[in-house]
Amino acid sequence: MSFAFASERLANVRQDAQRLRDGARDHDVQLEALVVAGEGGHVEAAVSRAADPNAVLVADDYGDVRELLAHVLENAGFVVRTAANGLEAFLAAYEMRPAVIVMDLSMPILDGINATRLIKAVELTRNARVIAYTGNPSFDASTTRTLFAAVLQKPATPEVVLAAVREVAAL
Amino acid sequence: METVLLEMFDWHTLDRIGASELSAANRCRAGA
Repeated sequence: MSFAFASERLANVRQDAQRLRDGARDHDVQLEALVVAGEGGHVEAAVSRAADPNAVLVADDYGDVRELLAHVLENAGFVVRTAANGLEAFLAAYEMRPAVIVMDLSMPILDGINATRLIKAVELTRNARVIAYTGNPSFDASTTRTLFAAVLQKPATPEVVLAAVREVAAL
Repeated sequence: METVLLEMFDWHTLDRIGASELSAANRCRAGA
């Protein structure tokens, strides 16, 4: 590896790290706004609103995956929202109260397992049924049995994901 | 198992978003 190439790689890594930190700070601000809104009655309003049985949240750090699954699910009649990392997924779940969440497990800022732990720990969001969507072939679902309603291995065709969402939504 | 969450959010925030068990765990952890 040449010195110039190594320097460029290092600069890219630093930029990526800075983007992640900036992203995390943005999310901190959002979370704080959500919490403050909760003090003003937002939480009470959300409590009285039942989870939307047609609402699905798709969380994946790959934009192509989010867009494809959102397109397929919307065409099937679901109301879809997307999130690019675990913290964004929690914030979206808190606001949207989806019936089903398709959750990628490997994501920046907060991974899918910890995002699901947070969703299951919060009274407003704990009834959402979460489908783990993972590219890790050695993922041991038995260790997280209480968290996930189903586990899908990547790559899964959009039809397989749609069938899983319909099945879990009907539970 | 929830260490990441306990490090990411303080007990006050967890309490306010309704994660009461995590909030209690973080209070214990902080010795509050």
